[in-house]
Amino acid sequence: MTTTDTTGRMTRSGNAVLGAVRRATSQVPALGLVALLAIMWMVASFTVPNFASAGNVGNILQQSSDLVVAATGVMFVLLAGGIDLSIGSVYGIGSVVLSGLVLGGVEVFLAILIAVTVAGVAGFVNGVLTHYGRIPSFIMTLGMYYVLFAVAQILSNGQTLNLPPGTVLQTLARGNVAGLPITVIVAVFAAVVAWLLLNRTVFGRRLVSVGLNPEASRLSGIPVGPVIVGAFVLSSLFAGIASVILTARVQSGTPALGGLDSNFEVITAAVVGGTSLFGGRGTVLGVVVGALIIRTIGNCITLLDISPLLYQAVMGSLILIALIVEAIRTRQEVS
Amino acid sequence: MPSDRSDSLVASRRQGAAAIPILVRIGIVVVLLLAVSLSVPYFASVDNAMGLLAQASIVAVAALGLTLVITTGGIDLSVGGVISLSGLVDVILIGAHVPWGVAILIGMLLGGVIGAVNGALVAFLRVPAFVATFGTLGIAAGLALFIANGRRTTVLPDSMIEFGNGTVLQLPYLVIVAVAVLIVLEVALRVTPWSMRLRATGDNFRVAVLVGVPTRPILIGAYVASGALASLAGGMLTAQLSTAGPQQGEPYTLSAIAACVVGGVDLMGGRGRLWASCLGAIFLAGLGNVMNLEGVQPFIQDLATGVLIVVAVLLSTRGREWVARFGESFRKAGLR
Repeated sequence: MTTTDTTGRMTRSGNAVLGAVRRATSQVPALGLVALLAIMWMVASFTVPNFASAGNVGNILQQSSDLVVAATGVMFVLLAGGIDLSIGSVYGIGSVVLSGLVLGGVEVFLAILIAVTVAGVAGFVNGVLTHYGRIPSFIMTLGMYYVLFAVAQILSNGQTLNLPPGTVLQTLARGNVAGLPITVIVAVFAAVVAWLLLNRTVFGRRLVSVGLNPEASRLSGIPVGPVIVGAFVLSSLFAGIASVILTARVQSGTPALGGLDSNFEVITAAVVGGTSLFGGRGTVLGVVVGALIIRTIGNCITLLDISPLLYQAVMGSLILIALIVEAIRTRQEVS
Repeated sequence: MPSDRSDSLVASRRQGAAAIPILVRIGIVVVLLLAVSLSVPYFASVDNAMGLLAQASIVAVAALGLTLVITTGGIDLSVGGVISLSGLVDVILIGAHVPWGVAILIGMLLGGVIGAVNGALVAFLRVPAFVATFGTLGIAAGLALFIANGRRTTVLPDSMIEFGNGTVLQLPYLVIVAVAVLIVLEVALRVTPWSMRLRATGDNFRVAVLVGVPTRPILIGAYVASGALASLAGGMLTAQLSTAGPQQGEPYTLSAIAACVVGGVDLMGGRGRLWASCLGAIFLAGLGNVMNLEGVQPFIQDLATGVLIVVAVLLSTRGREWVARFGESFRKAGLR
């Protein structure tokens, strides 16, 4: 047991195990995750039948692309100290808008642009009402989840919009450029953009600062509002791009493309990737590897013939484990 | 969340909690009720009113536990998952010839355990409640999906279905349960220092610790109560629907939060009235009822509920400020 002082803070005299966990996880977390993924792949290739078969790792990469994009996006909101529970429905609305427009004869690239923009607008509303309306982000985005789901249902009349064969979207899902699947290229591109935004722009610096200490950031002249709104817009834009990838993969637009389990998956990927749920800490590389770890687990669940219905429970457990590790690691000071 | 860090998206606390006085709220509801009774046929019938109250009582039971949690400055997002999971566990126990009342009690025990996990995470690790309970939501909802798969359907005993749909002297049993829970909690809050300690914990955590409030037991107790009451709501829902599905609890997370918010519970903690949360649940059930009677599409009902919640929270966070600004501009206009 750890002892506590009168302010409820864990004291330094906590036991050695906690200290060891903290030390082990505090250094270069992203590289540690890469090592973890490598170990998972090695263990799986010996223990899981067909895991090491030709094409399976390529499959995992391709299947991870949407999750990489969405998790990288939600990282911005987590960095700001919030949470985005609307992603599952952003998938649905993006998918319905995209398919509806394509079926209506709109040029595919324009349709993609419009669908991603619609997603971005949802993020803008999330951000504005969270910061300026002072609505806690989990309520705002949970409300938005139901609103977007309803709008997607109304737009699609509750039906699945099947895309005609032979569109550019089909190429997007199945095509390769220089031997690499297009979706993987999109994911890598999104991750690079996110890395640049976070590490090479004023916005990125301000976002980290706001996440670590909003009050100090405000006092030092950082425009906290626009930074938070920007984080929510990025989260939804990236989710919109992920929904385009998913729509292309299933070749149809459906309001139920995402759902609550998508929320779990995306947030778990970001959190397993070392993004702090207390705000201000997180790396793009970590989140990308986190997404790969999640999809590897999913792949193993399928190959081992374990009930896929357990997937959501596994995601929930991973969030709690990451949360506990994080709490021990940083020993959050209690206000 | 008791930790200020996790409120980081909230620029400042306490700007305008409870912007609209409770009496004004009740007045608005009464006026609305009268207007609706006159304009929507069948709404004002006894049958409809009792059906509405039965519907509200399930949300109300979950919202009562949630009110305790939110008063400590936390949130419980696992409510919906616990409702689904405990409904299924109840049905499985009944299938194993456990009397249904005992099954519901065992279900409540399970809900209490899930609540204890939530409480321990929040009280000992000081993690944001919305993340901890989001994780347990995943586990509970996921387990519900898992155990529902391939399960043989159990025919529920007639007495349980009667409990979910029957009435005594026109009053549904479900309403009696909700009122009983409300009375027990109100009495417990009033005759013990519990209420004060809950509010102290949510109002200013550090001060609460310094003045000797046992914040950890208070936090854990609130989450245990929320989990156990969500399980009771799950049992009530199962009795009403006479079946248990893995996702039938899902919408209740948001409904229960909405009932609390409409009832004026301050999401930043420190403030909340149990009976007002029940009124919130009745208001929401009434809204759904009117939309049903008017034949509004279910999708549009979801949309309306989502918007209503956001607007209700917005009014509770910024309402007073806006009212004040409005009054200010009136005064300026008067001076001129």
